[in-house]
Amino acid sequence: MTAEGLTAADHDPSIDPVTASILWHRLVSIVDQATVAHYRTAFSTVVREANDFASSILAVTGETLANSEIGLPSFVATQSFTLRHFLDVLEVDDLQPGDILISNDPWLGPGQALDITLLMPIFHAGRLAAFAGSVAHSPELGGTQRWNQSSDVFEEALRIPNMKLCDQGSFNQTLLDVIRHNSRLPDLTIGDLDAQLASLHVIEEQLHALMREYDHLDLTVVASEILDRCEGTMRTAIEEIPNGVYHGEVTSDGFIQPNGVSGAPIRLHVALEVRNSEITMDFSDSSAQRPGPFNGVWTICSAYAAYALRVILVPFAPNNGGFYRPLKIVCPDGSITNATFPAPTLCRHVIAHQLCDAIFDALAPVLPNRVMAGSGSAPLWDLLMMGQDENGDAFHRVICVNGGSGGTAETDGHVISFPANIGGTPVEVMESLMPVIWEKKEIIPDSAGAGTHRGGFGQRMICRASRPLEITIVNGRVAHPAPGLLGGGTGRAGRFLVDGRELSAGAGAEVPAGGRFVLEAPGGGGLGTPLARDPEKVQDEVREGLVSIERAEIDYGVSLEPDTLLVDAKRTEALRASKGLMESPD
Amino acid sequence: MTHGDVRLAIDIGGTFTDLAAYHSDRRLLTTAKVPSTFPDPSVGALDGVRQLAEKDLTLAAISTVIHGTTLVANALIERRGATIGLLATSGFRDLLHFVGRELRYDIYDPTPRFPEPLVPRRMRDEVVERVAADGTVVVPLDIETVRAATARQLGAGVEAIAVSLLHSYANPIHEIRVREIIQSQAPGLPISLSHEVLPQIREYERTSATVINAYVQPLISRYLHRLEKGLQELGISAELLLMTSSGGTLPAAAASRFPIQLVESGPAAGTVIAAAIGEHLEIADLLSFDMGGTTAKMCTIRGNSPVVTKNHEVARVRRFRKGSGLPLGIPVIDLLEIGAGGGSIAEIDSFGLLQVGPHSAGSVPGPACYGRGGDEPTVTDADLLLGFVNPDSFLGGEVKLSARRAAKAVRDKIGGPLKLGTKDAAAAIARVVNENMAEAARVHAVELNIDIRRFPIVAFGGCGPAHAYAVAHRLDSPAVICPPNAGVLSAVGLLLAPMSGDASRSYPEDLERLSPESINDMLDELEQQALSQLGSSLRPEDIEVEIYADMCYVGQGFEVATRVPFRRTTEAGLRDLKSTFDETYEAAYGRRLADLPARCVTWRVIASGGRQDVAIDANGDDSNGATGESKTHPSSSRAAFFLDHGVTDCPVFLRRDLAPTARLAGPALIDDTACTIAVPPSMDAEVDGDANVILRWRSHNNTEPNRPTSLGRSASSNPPETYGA
Repeated sequence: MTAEGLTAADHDPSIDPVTASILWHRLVSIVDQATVAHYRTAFSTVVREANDFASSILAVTGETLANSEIGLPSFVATQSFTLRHFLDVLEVDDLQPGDILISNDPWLGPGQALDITLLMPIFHAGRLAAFAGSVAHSPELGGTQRWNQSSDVFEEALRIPNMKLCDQGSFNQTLLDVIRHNSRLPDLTIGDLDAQLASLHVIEEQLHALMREYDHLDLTVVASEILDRCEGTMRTAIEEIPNGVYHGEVTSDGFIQPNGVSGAPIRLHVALEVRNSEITMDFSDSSAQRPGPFNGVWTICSAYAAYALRVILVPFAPNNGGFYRPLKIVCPDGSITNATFPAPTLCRHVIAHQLCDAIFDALAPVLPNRVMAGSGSAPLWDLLMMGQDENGDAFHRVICVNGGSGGTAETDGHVISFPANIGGTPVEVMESLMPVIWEKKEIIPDSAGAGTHRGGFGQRMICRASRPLEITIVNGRVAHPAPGLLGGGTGRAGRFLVDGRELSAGAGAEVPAGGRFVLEAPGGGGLGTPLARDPEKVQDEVREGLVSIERAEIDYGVSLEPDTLLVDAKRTEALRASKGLMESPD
Repeated sequence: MTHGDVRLAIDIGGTFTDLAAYHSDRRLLTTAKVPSTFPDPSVGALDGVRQLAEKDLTLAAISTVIHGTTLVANALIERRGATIGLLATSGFRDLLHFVGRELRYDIYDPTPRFPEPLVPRRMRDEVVERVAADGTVVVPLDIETVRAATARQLGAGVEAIAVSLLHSYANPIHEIRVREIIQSQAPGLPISLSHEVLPQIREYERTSATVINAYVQPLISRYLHRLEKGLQELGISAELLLMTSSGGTLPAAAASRFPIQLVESGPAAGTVIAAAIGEHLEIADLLSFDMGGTTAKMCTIRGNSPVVTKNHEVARVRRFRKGSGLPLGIPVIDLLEIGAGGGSIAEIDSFGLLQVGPHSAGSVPGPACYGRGGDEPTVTDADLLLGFVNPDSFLGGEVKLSARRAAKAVRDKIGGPLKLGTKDAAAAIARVVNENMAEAARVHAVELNIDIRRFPIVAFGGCGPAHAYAVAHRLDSPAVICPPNAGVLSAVGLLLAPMSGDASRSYPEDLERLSPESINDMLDELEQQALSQLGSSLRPEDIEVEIYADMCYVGQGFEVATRVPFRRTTEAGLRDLKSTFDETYEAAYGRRLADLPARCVTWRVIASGGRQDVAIDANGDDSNGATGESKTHPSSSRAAFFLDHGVTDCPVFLRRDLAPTARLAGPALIDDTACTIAVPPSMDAEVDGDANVILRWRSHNNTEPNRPTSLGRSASSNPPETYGA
């Protein structure tokens, strides 16, 4: 499957740059308001605490026009894919005011059957003006609770046909009943769906107000103007990269497969071709799809690949489909970047998140000041816990754990989410929700990949189950840590232990009452040679107990007096000179 | 004059210290402005008091001194606090590294930066202990670990210690014991306990608040001690009260223990003014709009009180980005600050579009028209070209403005690239900055769950009154109110501050499982705490107590602050609370989920003594026309370019000439000492009995919006909402 940018449509150039600037801000602001309405009314922790959702306004062409700055970066692109599918199969007259479209098809949306996309056509003065879009991770949609064990998509969630949830203002009650009856947590599932609807209605009302205010503003003209400008800026940024084909790759853990054995390591490879103002990212040379659910889907893989480029080429600006027009992304059917239906894909993000590192690897030689070293938060770790609380009620909770992000030419990494943007849940909140005690949540010293700018540190959580638990870990970078770039060092690999036994990525385990499990999320990779890092920074981190005196010497060539922790300048100079020679023998 | 007749306000800002004294018997306001003195601002403040004494102030007659200061915020921004230590639960000393709950505050920023923790890792020690979520002790406190950690930290030279243990909001016994042990080793050392600073669930936020408190405590308590001593030496024996971040006041002794309460002490005074004006005009809901040199600050006033938030941050790495600062957690007036001020730079961005701010030319080099070497076009340059600045009396005539330089900058950097004439380019800059402010206010209002359309705007600051009409137009606001005394407005705000005390505690539990006894015991304690923060001058019968519970439906994560319908409760009272919450929730979200069980997370008791009054007959220094003949003849005229109207030759009035009841029709300009009030062709202005200049749309009255609303729910019944567990 291929995601290819639309070509720019002809447009009426009647919108001046000042009005365009104002309208663009307005559209982003409208989506921000919708986002707020969404998370404030949501029930599930994945939406309200972890941020697993997004809203947008889409143009009638199917391109995203504005999306929220809170929420997940990937969902902006997938809403566009979902809408384009509907636009392909529907007749013009099929869409009416009051309609809402629904899909949870992994191959049309964010790659996971638990993500529900809603799209609402917005009509103004009798014409289709735009679409409001919302994607959110549903707290429960049936299917397996053991995310690592599905063998096809049918085991993963209720499959909702691509259809109208609401037809000219009337909800399809049968569909809602089916959803309710297939959820283990029907109140949460329907409550969260309602929160998505609330966000769509905010966009609808605000867009109507905007169009009225500007005397029946033609949003299609506004969309062309804004998207063309963003396309132009993206093309200019691409033109600064020399033409050529750049190869990048990263090795991913193989993950536990349905036979209970960890699969062979996965190769994620990109051939990134820059030709003038366009880029093609071809993942054809990556591994083939696997039997288990750790498979990518073209939608989510394209979304993260495009995000990686966008964030380094045109940072800071609000996002929309214009930036993606000059991009072509190839995720071949049957590959790990696009498993073929009905393959299981519940854990597709473990593939998609790591693609960013392959792309940065490819571009590092030509854009050394822009790229980021490997992220210890790619993939995001999900820990699923099931059991019964002290009242005998069954519970099922997912928490997310981040490692260290990668170093850049300007900054060290942090313990933050990248390329996703999913937060951790406070220990006090978790302990008030389930019978688990956290004995530690701490930084792991020496876990950051060394570099001129080091990676972020990994974090360690030690947990004790007060009651028996069944746990599943969806993780990665246990066997293959986050790579450094441009001479930077590798981050520390992650580990997951249950009662002292180390498990491979994607494993499940039973924890008896009183049993302990340990999560050690990976450190981020460093960027640039560690020998160029300011010795005072190294010294400070040794003082802080974040870097050991031994690693300061071995990794950074900085020698410290053991008692005073003062820098031995002479020895440091000599060490760095000899290490420098070893590093570049030519 | 007898003791008890005069209230004195001292507002210390970055550049000037403003003083205002209100003589209630004579209905007289006297003011003074002196340079602020750093590092010890009490010197300048006491100088100002002496100046007032020379004018017309009997120091012995002062009954209350109310003080606002930016000292705490500046100490945090400039990192000038104390060397402190942190004691944490074993396994959790690194909490401060889990910045922003591991979220990136800007998903399109590939190089995010975060504030460094205020206490380095080497000054953080762990003590062996553990309390569970329900408050039970899982691991008893190991006293030896506390002793060893304290000794180590004292050896390292700490000036204060923060203690933040897990679940201390549910059971503070270990934190209290830790304090006793530290005190026995280091008598007099300032100690901040997390359950006292922020008794709420969520360890990162609570630890952050506790550390902030400890970090500024030595500095602030020394300063307040000096100031109190200095005032006493001048013969002022009155109680010293501090303006808090939530718009109330706190006695100096309490402020010394909880200086975190003072972080937004300065800006809070401005919002108190707006609330007080609303009370006088019988308008409960307003938007306060303070547009100055580098930023615009907006705050919503609901039911005559500034809206408060628990999500405030200080010392942001990226100033206008939520998530890039240190979270405070305590209630703070909900100030929306955006990069839109007179110095905000206009530029053409990489998309070929006009952007205004957040970059600012500051005061050096400043806008191009200052002629101090700045060549970037700014909002002030645009305002000058549009006629909204009096070039001869800018900043009281301190700076002569050059229209030629302003025109060149606007033409070269904006007009040329966008193919616009200079005037049109200046108008475009004004349009964009006005839209930015209005848009930010709208998003902010949604976050607060408030429909701010139809809220009148109280405008102040150097640029506020010139831009307010355009913001009012975009927000469907019926009126713009420009208060008098623009030069010392914050000091006047301090005079109006209500005395208040505030105590809260997290006690997350399903409503069905709460017992009336445990609630009543907790409310007793909270009420005692709240009352102890009130100044000693209030009579018991003047004190009002309000109780709020932050509630949600079981399973949700955002709570709605629900006004509790009882002071002490029974089983039946708790059932009533459920229906009160259902109503509150419905008012906020337009839906009622009465079948679902409810949960209470945080309880808050507020004790207050009502707002003070400042009724003025005569105005000592800063005559804003409260006396004298009504003169409604313009003093001159200037060409002004009102948005949507183009260039108009406009009469210019001097504010000091306008007496109460003076009325004038737009278009008009009213030059004040520190700003110009722009009255567009579609508005009329009038001066009310309190010397406020009030602008109203000519085509519609106060209560009707000029465009249809679409949210379809009442603005007045929406409660404030808070973020908790």
